[in-house]
Amino acid sequence: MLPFRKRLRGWWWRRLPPETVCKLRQRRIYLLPTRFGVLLLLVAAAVWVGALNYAVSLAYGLAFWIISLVLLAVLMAFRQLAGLQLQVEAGENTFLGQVANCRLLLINPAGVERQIHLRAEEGDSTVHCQLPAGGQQSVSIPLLLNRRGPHAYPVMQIWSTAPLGLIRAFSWWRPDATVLAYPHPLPDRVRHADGLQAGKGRSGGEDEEDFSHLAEYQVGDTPRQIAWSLLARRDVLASKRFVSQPRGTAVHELAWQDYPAALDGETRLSRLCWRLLQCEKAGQRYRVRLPDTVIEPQAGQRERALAALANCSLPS
Amino acid sequence: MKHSLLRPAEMAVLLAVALVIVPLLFYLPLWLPALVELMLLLRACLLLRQSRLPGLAVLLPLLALAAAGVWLNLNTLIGREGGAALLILLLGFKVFESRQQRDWQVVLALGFFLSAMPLLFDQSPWSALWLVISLLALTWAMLRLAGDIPSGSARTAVQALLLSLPLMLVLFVVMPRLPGPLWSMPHDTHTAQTGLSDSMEPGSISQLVQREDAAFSVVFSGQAPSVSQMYWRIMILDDFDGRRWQNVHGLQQETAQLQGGQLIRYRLTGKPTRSRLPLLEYPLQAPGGSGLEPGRLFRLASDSDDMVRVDASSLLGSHYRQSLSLSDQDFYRRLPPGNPASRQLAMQWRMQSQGDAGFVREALLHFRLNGYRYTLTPPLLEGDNTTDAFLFSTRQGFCEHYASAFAFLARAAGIPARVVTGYQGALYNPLGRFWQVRSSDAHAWVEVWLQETGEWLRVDPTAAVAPQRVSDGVSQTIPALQPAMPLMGSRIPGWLLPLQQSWQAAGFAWQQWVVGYDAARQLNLYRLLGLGESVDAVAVLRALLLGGGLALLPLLWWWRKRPATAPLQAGRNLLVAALQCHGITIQPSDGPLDMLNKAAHLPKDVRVLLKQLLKEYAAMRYRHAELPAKQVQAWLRQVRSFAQQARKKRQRS
Amino acid sequence: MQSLSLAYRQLNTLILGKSRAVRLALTCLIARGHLLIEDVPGVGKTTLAHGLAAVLGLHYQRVQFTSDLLPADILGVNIYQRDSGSFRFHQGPVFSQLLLADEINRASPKVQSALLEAMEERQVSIDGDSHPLPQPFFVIATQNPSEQLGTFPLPESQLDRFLMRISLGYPAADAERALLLGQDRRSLLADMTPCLQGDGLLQLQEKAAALTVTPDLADYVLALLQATRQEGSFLTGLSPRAGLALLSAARAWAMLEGRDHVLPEDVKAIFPAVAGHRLGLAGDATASLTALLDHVAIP
Repeated sequence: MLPFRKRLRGWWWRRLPPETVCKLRQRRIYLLPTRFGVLLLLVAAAVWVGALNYAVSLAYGLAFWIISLVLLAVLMAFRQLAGLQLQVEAGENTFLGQVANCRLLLINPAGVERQIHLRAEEGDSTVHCQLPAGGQQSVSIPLLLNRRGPHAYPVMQIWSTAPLGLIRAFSWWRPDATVLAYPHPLPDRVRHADGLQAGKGRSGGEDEEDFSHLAEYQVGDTPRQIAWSLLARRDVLASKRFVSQPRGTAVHELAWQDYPAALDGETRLSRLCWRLLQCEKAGQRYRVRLPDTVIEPQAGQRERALAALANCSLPS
Repeated sequence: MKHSLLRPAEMAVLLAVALVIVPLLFYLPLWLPALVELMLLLRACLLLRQSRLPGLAVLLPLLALAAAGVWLNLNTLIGREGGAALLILLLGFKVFESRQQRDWQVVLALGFFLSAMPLLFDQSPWSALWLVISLLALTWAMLRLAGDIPSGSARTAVQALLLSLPLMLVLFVVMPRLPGPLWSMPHDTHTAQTGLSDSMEPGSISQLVQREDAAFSVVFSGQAPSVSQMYWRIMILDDFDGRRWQNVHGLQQETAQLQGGQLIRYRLTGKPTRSRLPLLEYPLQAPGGSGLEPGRLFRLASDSDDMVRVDASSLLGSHYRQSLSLSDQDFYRRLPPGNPASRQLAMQWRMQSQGDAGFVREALLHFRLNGYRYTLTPPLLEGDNTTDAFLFSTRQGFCEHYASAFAFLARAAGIPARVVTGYQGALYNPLGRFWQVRSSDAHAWVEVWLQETGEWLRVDPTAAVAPQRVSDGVSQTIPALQPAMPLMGSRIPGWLLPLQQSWQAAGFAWQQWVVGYDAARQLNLYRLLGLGESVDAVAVLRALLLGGGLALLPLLWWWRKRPATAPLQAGRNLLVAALQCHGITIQPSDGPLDMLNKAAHLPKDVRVLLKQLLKEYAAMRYRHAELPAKQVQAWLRQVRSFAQQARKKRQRS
Repeated sequence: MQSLSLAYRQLNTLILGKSRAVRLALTCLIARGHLLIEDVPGVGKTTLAHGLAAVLGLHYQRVQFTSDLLPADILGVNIYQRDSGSFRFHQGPVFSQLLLADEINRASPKVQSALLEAMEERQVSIDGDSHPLPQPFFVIATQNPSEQLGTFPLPESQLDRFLMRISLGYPAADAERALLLGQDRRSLLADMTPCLQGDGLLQLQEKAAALTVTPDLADYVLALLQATRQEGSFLTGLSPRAGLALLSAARAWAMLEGRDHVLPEDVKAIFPAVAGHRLGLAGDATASLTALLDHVAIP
């Protein structure tokens, strides 16, 4: 694309107000003939010239019919978009460097079927959806997250050339929504173990295993595992099973200050992110301490903590 | 675009263009459209088998070869035939290098252009019908190619064409027609000639008579003359070579005048035959103000054979006075040697009769009394003395025999005479209120120049033999003709007559309003509708606004068309409105029980009725998935009356 | 049907002034769902559970959850028998028709998930053997939302094992007055007569599941689901499984109302109880759900 045209488009998109809900009305729907439409108009002109030269009245009819068909296509293409409702749906936040799905909901309130194409400007993947009369459909537009933090939904181009493919009706929409790019997780096993110990407040590492439950005796169980009291009382042979995972009120401390000040902020966040995910995976309780916030164990903690990491502004 | 998804659409495109070029089978050398159809079929097979397409290295030489074939066959690659031939060849080869959607769109566009080609050759309603079929197929293929609506595309195509039809009609009527071509077209020499030819020999007219096609049509302003007076003159044949009469243009100029007669104005629409149009005997002046040819004949300035319409006026029954110089008289008396018996007969009458008029009477009497038969299938006249053979041995013939024989006799008797060809008679179509002249009305008669009065007198020897030929038309006169011409004359079954007449009327209207809609007619229409005195920018704009408004009406209907509200939903809306009248606001999020709860304070009778209605509503919507329409309608009626009562109540209070 | 309304009446004499909560609890059981009661102690959670078991004639067990409880304490254990040389499965308290899991958030996550798994699968798998739970099988779990210290909130991903979450709340003044003046609840409990015999409850459950749901109603449920998924309303929207839960609960509610088909109002009645915990809302934050019900049009 020409740089000038690019700049013009950029200026145009910035002018678009962000909206969570957008109803396509007449004023924001633009119509242009497609290449095929132009070709057909040229054919109509040629037929017209032929009609004139050979004085063939019916050929006039044909030329005008083609022109009428193109005019009708304008109306039909316009109708594909007119009244269409677009809504923002919560996007799927994901990690830096990955592709997030910007989710949008298309609602067709009218009694006609619509064929809608959607594309993120400056993106190259196009989504096509067929909306039955009165129907709605959720679509996902991929967005590459190339930096940490909130990403606004890209400006969407919505277009349709249905049903004749002669006229392209299009419109732009800047969805008022963001997806978050969480830091890219970086493994940090050392700190992970440290954080656990700090949280538990214990010193010893040997008798870390806790009794979990009784299970049937299996050959090879050590005498230490046999539940002797049970055997004495109820005359059944059972083995104790232990777990190495912590329980009780142990809380992992995932703190910004765990790292030397020399380490750059993004790396710190990435490592915290990894540790956080480890805790979630193991079903452990954790607390995230960031320069500006502290995320306590709570419902929906994963999302909250990740969002805090994503939104964390680095102290300079 | 996914290839697999497009494949049926490509088939649709192939089918559409194959339909479009079907009429060209009649107008181009048969091998060419047939070859292209075959190529389309081959391409369809390749599509089905998903085979590889031949490369350009194969296609281009083949295309050149085919173009050379066209050149050899037609001697041209431009003009009507040459252009059409080249275009369909291009189409045939284009499909072989069409892979992407864009290519197929070009094929479709070419198809749209090609659908205009048959119109250059023929503008009959059949052509128009085929045009509509072509457009339908092309639009359908276009919808398929656009790819979004795989099902119902045929319906959408019909809808699109119907919706654009009014717009097309408005443009057709309103858009200014330029009076002439932008540039002159090369003239085609291959046009098949129909109608009367330059010469007349035994059998040339009787061939024509067996054809049923319309020659031209006439609308008289005012009273129409009687059928027996309708002699449409088209050509004068002034030279006889013993077998054939032809026009040698012996007379370069004439000083003639018409005296008396009844002025008849009429409008004539037809295709010229070698630029000639028939005019009623005798034309006052040439249509368009230009001069008539010698012999009061009309010839168009252009040599196109397209349908034209002229306003003409004739003096019916007038005297055609002309002073012929002696050399001119001799010219009209020239005869080749031969036919001694006929010459003798002529001289004999010359002796017996008084004056030229007496001779004519004598001769006609001879034809009437001596067992001459009027027939389409006369025996062949053999030998050199054809006139003798006819007059004395076969005595059977058609109008050309009688005209020829009479003119021979007159000339042999020293009376200047010439054969006139044209049409005689016409058939009135009460539906279209016009007169139709058909090829079968072709006729030949004689004009003799009378020394005494110095005027040309029309003599129709055929009328002497078969008077009803002139009064009732040819099909009444020759019974043998009737089975061959089922649509002719009044002997067709009675119930078919209106059908035939409406068909003719439609044909006439078609000719007048569609094929013959030109700048002049457009101007008339503009004046008639009060759009302006000339077809200028302002008037066109005005007409476009007016007509566009009308054409938009169906579009508006289409735009506003919504699927009919489900009756249950409609009923609910009514109930909500009714409750609003009672001062109760129902939200869209309220269900039937909510509605009933909100209406708890209403008077008991209303509440009971409402409860019953809502209960049925709930049962119909949430209990049965499928409902008999009857039950729903009954419920809807009750709801309507309930809503009406609520409205009334509010008006009272 | 009659037995059901009888049970409902009996329960209302036991739990005063909480007819809606009682109805929801009953609905939940008829819809084969497990019930989570979130409340402060002493408002009658245990009495309700007890009463439900009594009127429905169910075998009832109660487990007080504590932090040192082990999964085996709930599920049971395989124990070796020396005489026969084989193992015998000792059933835990989960093998009952109605299990009251008191203060479920006090147990360790391991115990919680052991129970939740059993609830979901309606069987207990230990050492490769699966032991089916009795039919019907309900869990009524209670938790105290105000306690934070030493508790393990139920994992959100598993909260939807509970069909409904309700809270009883403090009784209204006159109901509380009647409570103070009336009989002891425990003696009342003893007087409760079972209204259903044998597999009566199972039959009711089957009947409820067969209630008519027309496409129109399904559309309404869809509209509700869609509304929760819209940006900004909630942290996460309702899942398709939640939609099924809404339908089965609405069916049971409609049956309690004595209808053979489901109306939008039934969906509305059970919506806050079914959707609240799935949307991650606190027990008392159902205002947004009511607002949602008010603005979603019935299609």
